[in-house]
This record gives sequence, structure tokens and C-alpha cells, in this order.
Amino acid sequence: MEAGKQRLKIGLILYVLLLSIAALPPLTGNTALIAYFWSFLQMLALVMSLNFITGFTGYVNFGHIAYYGIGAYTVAYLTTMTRVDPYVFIPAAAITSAALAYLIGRPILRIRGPYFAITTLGLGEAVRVIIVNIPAFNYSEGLPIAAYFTYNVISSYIAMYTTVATLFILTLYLRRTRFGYMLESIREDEDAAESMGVNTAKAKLAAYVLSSACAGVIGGLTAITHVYAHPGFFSITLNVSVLASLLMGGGGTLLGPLVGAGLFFFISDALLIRFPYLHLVIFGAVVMAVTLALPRGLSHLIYRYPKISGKIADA
Amino acid sequence: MFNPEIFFQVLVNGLLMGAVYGIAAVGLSLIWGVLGVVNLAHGSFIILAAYIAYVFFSAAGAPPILTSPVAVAIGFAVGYLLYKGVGRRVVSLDPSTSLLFFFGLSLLLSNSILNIWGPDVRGIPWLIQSLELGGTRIPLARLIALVSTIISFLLLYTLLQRTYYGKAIRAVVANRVGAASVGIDVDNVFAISMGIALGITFFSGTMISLVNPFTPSSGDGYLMYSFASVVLGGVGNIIGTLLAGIFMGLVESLVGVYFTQSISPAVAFIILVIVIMVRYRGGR
Repeated sequence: MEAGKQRLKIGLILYVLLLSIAALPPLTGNTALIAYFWSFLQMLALVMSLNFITGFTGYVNFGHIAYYGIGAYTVAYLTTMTRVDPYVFIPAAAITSAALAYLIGRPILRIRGPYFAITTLGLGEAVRVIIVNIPAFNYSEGLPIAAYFTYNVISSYIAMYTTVATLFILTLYLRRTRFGYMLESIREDEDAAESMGVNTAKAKLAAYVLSSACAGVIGGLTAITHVYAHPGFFSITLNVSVLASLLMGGGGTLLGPLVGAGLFFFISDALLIRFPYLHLVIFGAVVMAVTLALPRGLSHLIYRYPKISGKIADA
Repeated sequence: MFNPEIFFQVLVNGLLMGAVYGIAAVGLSLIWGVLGVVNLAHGSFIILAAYIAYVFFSAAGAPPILTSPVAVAIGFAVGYLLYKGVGRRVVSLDPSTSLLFFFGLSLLLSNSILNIWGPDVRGIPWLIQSLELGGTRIPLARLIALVSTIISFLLLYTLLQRTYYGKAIRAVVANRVGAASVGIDVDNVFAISMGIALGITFFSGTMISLVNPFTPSSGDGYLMYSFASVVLGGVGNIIGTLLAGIFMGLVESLVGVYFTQSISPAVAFIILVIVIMVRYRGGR
């Protein structure tokens, strides 16, 4: 079996395993356990959604949290206005993020390479300062929504679980269809793709809008779980953690986000407990070491050790 | 209501701050132009140098202006050794991976600073008096920062124009393969440019400690301003970068007075996007 297919197979097995294991915590009724798994699923969902643009097309996006924050604010704002159950507004979060991603993506996706990365680095910060200057969004205090609905840890868990499952299906879809191949051709050589008749502008805009809409949904769900939307959602550290997880795991693959998010989440958690002050210093060193040792991501190891991974895939 | 006196004061403040922003961006421009990698840890290096100046000031009472040559030497050593250690590998990575490498470095640096000096705002209260010229106030510390910035920039410029290594660096910026084919040791030029670039970056950090208060996370703001200046002034073009930094300072000062200080990051971002769109036709 060739290595790429092996990786897909290992990915499928691991996701099925994950989705079965992740179905257990709500049954135990242990709130701490549910919250812990929820955080992991949220991280995984963010990495999977970023994968659509950064993994498949190779456009390094530091502005993913802009749409995550916009989703959070959309849900919180509509909830405070109408006093209806906030889950009703999750589609609105997706639509707002998608619409803004369309408007912002049209100009900025013409930019390539490091210029694109730097432009997006400014985007999250720019959106944050605009939001904290708008009176309707309560300046830098944000919008608490706890008063408008009864918080339930199980439903917030199920919502995030469903999101991960949906993202899994979307990723599989991209791995198998013409649209996915178009995106990968942009990553490998954009000019060549263009000359072969791929409408690169349209394809990357579609990937960007999809990726941002997913970020909006995750942001909305996070606002519901935290019962609060605030400027802290536009956290560049979170964005980079997501990006680092994706690149560590290997972008443009099904397996990569799971490996990267898993590694990141459990390592940073373990470091945080053991070295509460130094954990980000160590994490920085780990990121440097991984980029130097495995520049194409951990899931690329399969190409280096085809025999071992073949056995894993067959088992 | 337009008040010419305020307007003139705003221009002077913008120029004084802009010169420091400009010199802060030069190091980023040089590394990007010569090595072709974007140093995301740039802001953290600036702040590290500001803390070095702070240590010298609080321990020995040495003003940043005296610390700056020491900071340049430390910066050069750090840059040279960083390249000799891992630089060759980093330069060979694809752009997104090298960005991530530098981000790791930035996390490591800024959190080390946080652990050593704590999260408090620091500043160097040296020469806090102001000159007054025809109704315009000029803070002495900022004036001194401006003068030393001009001197150090002229030194750097002469170094790049007149010396063998300066010419070799410019040759590598113009055409890496061509430079190698006429016998320039490109690897060595990379190491020296990295040294010079971090030397000037550390210098700018000591100037920033003189003109602005800082915290371990102040680096992010300087990183954004430096990016905007480099993109506006031209990658590898140090004169353009310096002038663009001055422009950024003027814009920040005008926006701060006529709108609100807190939206200046959004303004930097908008300038950046417009410049990339118009000047680079999408960065191709």
C-alpha cells in the first residue's frame, strides 16, 4: 500500500477511535472530564478548520481568530438583543464570518507568500481594535450572556462534538474531490495550476470562506460555553497555537490536524501543570525543534517509515 | 477645529517617534532581504535589548545611550551564532515553516523576559525634561534618540556602501546565485548579515527604552510597525525602510490626536494592505 493511502487509513482509524472515545465523557456526568475533553475538541476543531486554507492551499493564515472572534460576538450580540436561546444564532455566526471572509478575502488573497502571512497577522488585531471601539459591543468589557439562557455543559459538549464530526466529513470530502485537488495544486505551484485551467482565485476564496465560516461556528459555540464574548477571543497566541499544531501535524492531510492538536493539547497541558511559569518558554523551544527536525509535520513520518506504518494500517 | 500649534507639535512628535520606528525596522528588512526569511522574533529581540538597557540603568545608572554600543555587540554575537547554529537549516525550510520557527523563538524569548523581569511596565526615567522652541515642546530623551538614530544609520549605510562585506551583502540581496558565482562566500555573508541586522535591532531596542515605556509583550506592536515599514519601504532597502518608519510615526501621531490612540494598530494594518496591493501587486 502506498504511503499516502496508509496515512489516510491511519487517519480514518484514529478519527473513528477519537469520536467513539469522545462520546463517553457525557455519559459519566463528570463535569471536569467533560470540560477537559471539550477543550481538546475545540482545539482540534480550530486546527481542522484552519487546515482548509493553510493546509490545503499553503496560505499561512495568522488571522483565523478574527473570524473565531466575529462568530463569538455575533452570537453574544444577537442573544443580548433578542434574549432567545443562543444556539439559534450559530448559523448567523457562520454567515457573518463567511460574509466578512468573502469581503476581506477578495483583496487579501491576491497577496502571496510571506506578505499574505503578515497581512493576516494584522487582521486579528485590526478587528479587535475596531470591536473594542464600538459602543454596542460594550467596548473592552465584552458581552456576557449568562442571564439569557440556562447553561448546560452536556449540550455545549454535544455541539462541539458535532462540529468536529462535521469537519471530519468536510476534510474527507476535500481529500477526495476535484475541489480538494484544485486547492492542493495551488499549494504546490499556483502559477502552474492557473495555467492548467484551475480558477485559483475562486478556489482559494472558497477555501478561505469555508475555513472562516467554520471558525465562526467554533467561536460562537465557545462564547456559549464561556457565556461571554470578549476581546480576549482575538488572541494571537491561540492563533499561533492552532497554526503550530497544524504545521507540526502536517497540513493538507486528514491525519495531521489530529496528531498536531493532540500533541499540542496534551504537551501544553502537561507543561502548564508542571512548569506554570516556564511552559511557554519550553513550548517555544519545542516548536523550534519540531520545525527543524520535521519541517513537513509529524504525519509525514509515514513516508520515512513505510513498513512500520503499513503494519499499523493493516492491524 | 484646526490649531496650527497642535498640528506642528503632532508633526514633531511623529518625526521623533518615526525615526525610532524606522531604525527598529531596518534589521527586519536586512534579514528578509539577504536571507529571504521573515524574522517573526524581531519584536522580542527589540524588547530584549530594551530590558538590557533597563538592567544597565537600574544597576549602574548607565543611560541607554552608553549601553547601546554594548547592545550592538551582543546583538551581533547573537545573530552570528544563531545563523552558525541553525540558520542554514532555517533558510532551507519553506517560508511557512521558517515563520513558525521564528515564532517559536519569539515565544521563547518573550516568555523568558516575562519570567526574568515580570509583567510590570518598565521605563527609563533619564532626561525627562523638554526643550521649548517657539511653542513646540521637544522631549530631550527623544531628541537624543533621534540624533543617535541618525548617526547609527549613517554608520550602517557607510558599512554597507564602502566595506567589502557591505558590498557582498548588497550583491547577495541583488542576486544570490550571481553573487555565489563570482566567488562570494554566501554562507558567511548570511552569518554576518544576521549579525549586523540583530546588532542594529538591539540598538533600536535601547532607543525604544529611552523614548517609550515597555512590557515583555510590547514586542508585538513593534513587530507590526516594522512589517508595515519594511513592506512600504522595500524589502532589503534600508533607506526606504527608515523613511517608511518615519511615515508610520507621523501617521500614528496624527491618528492618535485626531481620532483615538487605540485604533492605531488598525491603521497600520490598513496601510499595510493598501501598500501590498498597490506596490507588490499581491506580493508576486
